Amino acid sequence: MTNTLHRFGDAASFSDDYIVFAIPSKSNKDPNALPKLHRFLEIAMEYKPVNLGDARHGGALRSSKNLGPLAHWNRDMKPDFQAVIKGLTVPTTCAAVFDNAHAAEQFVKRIKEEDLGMSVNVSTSIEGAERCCNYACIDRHSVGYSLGFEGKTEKIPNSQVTTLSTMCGHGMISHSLAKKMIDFVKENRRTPEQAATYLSRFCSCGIFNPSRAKRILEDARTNSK
Amino acid sequence: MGDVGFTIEFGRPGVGVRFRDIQQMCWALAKVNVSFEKKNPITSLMSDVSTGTLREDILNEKVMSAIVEIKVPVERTEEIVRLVWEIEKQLDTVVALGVATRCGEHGEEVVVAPILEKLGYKLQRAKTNIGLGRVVEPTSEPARETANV
Repeated sequence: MTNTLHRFGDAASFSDDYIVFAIPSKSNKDPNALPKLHRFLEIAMEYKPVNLGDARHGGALRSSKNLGPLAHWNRDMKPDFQAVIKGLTVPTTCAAVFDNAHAAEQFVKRIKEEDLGMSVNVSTSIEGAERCCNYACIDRHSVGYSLGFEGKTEKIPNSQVTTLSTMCGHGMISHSLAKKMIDFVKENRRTPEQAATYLSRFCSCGIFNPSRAKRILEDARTNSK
Repeated sequence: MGDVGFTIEFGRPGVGVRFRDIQQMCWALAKVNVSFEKKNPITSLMSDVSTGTLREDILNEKVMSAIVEIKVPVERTEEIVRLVWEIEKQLDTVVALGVATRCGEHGEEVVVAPILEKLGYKLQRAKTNIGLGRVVEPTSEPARETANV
């Protein structure tokens, strides 16, 4: 699965979307993989990520089995980054999501200096990843291009909905929920921040970018009829 | 170097796909002697990998998305893209194409991108491996948690 590769949008729309992955050895040859992943996430915190993710347990905002109607008013909407770090109990893919180039570039440079020995990928615009590499004095190893969506594209909803829903490549954010959140924001029933929070909880890898979602929702409110 | 990996993903985003549609693409790929990635789940569902034939009992099953993975020499990039274009017109779903390749010694990628651009693609997004991984010595620890990323 290429869970971040096929995010919808042009290169400019990824100016606030940088996902940096750390992937330990698949055959678990590294006995220090877990502490290295903890270190990766702890370092990420220094650069103010908008999300952290552990592919096994989820992101900084998670779904809950114990919700009642009052959750609409009293639910904690703050991302819990420490829960991601403390909850990482087995080596798995970890991700840090940033909403600005400077933070991503600094983080990549720092991770290179830490020399953790794990495979690290940057998922963003091609130019954005190149700039991260240049800043860190790294030569790219390989690149996987997204060629976008083809075929019966008439089955895909409008660009705002698709931009939101494709921020979870596993399809855990339904088009209908994304559309509902856009409508709620347009009707002033939810703020863009609240709607982005709701969407974020469905991404079980923690790679959803709530900052980008907030921008898209704000844009939908102000720039569409 | 010299190879290109394709991920041909059906049904994404949020549309879904039936295995009979996936089989059409697999048949076409097998016909031009493309070999399927052995560790790919779709390959494991084939009753005949040499022809790209999927198990008869799952053909009408619908899944949210599924990826066929292949690797070909870089010279075949255009041929494969054109083949995907031809077959995807016959499918009742969407297709998301991913194309991966190694970069040059200094991180440059000047082989595959020009081919894709010649075919009309405006390359916007990519997943970039920055090459920090190292081979580690084996231990007797159990296998790590697998993640679909």
